[in-house]
Amino acid sequence: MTYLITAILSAAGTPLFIVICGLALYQFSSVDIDLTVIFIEMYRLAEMPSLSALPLFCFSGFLLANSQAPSRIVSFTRILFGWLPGGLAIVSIIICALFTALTGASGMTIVAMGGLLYPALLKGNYGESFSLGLLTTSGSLGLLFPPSLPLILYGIISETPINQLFIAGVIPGILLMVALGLYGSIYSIKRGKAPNRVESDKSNIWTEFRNGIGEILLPIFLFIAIWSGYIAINEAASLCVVYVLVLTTIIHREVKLSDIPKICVESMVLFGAIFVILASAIAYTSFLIDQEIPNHLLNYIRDHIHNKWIFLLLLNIFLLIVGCMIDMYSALILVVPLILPIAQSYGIHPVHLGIIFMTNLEIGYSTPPVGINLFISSLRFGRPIIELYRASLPFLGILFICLLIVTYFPDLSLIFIAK
Amino acid sequence: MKNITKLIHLFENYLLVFLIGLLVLFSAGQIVIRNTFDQSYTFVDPLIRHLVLWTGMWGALVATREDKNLRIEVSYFASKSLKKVMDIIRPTVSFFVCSLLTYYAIRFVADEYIYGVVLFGSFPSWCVQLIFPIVFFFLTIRFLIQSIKTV
Repeated sequence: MTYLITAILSAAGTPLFIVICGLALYQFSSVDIDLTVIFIEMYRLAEMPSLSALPLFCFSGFLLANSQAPSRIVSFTRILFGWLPGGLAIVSIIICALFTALTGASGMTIVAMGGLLYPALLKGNYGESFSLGLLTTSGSLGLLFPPSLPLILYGIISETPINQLFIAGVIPGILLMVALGLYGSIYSIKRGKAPNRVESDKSNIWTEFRNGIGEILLPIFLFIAIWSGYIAINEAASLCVVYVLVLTTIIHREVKLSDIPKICVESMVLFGAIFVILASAIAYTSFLIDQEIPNHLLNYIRDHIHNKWIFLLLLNIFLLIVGCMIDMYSALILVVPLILPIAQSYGIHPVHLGIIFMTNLEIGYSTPPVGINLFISSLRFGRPIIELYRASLPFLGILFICLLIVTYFPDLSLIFIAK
Repeated sequence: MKNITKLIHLFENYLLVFLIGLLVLFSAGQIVIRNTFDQSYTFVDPLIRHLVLWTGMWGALVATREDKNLRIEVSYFASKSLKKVMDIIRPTVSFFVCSLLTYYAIRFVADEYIYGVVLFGSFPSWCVQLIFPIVFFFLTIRFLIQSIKTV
């Protein structure tokens, strides 16, 4: 009954932190535990050193989104990859991945990049359905690259080293991009009619290169810094903010100092929304642990599923549904504490599990019927949702195959990780 | 009344700007001081962690004002009358839950005050924990106003 009411309240669009806190209040009181325990648990958030990376990366992502970074990244990437067959499709994939990595999975990619890339794709002789499908499914690509907020959040919740997660994410992340890029190239060659290749104005190459290099280098620098172990993730985040502030306000002068308070508020609204769910989930998870519910769940699953590979398949299906229903941050906060011990009992490395989580959630975002990217695209491009279902299907098919490869070949993720 | 609301919103926004400003200043400053002067201050790390707590909780308050809280979106498929019912249920339940949370947050801070728990040096922990009752109190008010408006 309790869970039925919870489901109804969630479906009614009640903020998730209210639903979780309500559940925690009811269930703690039902076992006669003093309810101040909720705040004792919430206060544990002030003991997590990596947590400061979240607001800082969030802020730098919003700063970039409010500058001319999107158009600069487009120009830069066109110079590098525009000459390939299906160049514009490849450019779009790289841009979306890069922008999502920098700004987190907040739906900003489709909103910010869609306006630039959709008309360009149509002009480049790509079909309407292809362009819509490509932009919708690429809207959450790139979550495996630094400084992806969801991957950092997974690291915090699962207590897995965040630098290892970023190192592990490189090959699977590139695999997803290459697979979609190949499809784009084949589509472009099959379609035949030029202009498929993008010709850059040669006289502007140097200017466009110089303008875009600042943003392009950012994830690369971050990756090297994190990989070398020279700085911790929270330190990387604070350096990133300073770098982006200098880049957008002093070098490019696209963000005025008077705009910064507004950007601060916009970004901290997202962080606050994530944080309060994290706080309520940490309280509720402590109830679950107190009642040994993860253990009961583990025993139940172990009694019914004996094979690791079947468990992984079921996990993928479950995570796709979760990714389609709930936003990525809430999904991670709610599901990781329950799944992690079970996956570990099947011998799945927590870093590999993190990569499986990210891949699933990023695909789940574009999965019909309720993947959030589909709705954002529908609003952004003014198309009926059914058309987007159809347009996304070929891309989703490719991503599903990649997901199976990432899941069943753990070495792709763990090759550079000491097990 | 409109002016008061505007002032409250302005205060909320600028406190958030102030908090994130301090966060950037201390976290970047710590790296500079450590690498340039080979020094570090022990109070900075706990200070940053508590700034994150304050920023997050205050951000949640502003997120509620802006109706940007994370939620499961299935209302696309609901009929008009069902949507109306949902619009009443949401703030009413939220008001009820937040008022309970405010009460227990006050008790939590009071306990910490009585036990005299300290954070760093002799700085009492209840001062930073005050953010819980403050935010949940304002959330309660915000949801109460929303429920009155919808009914």
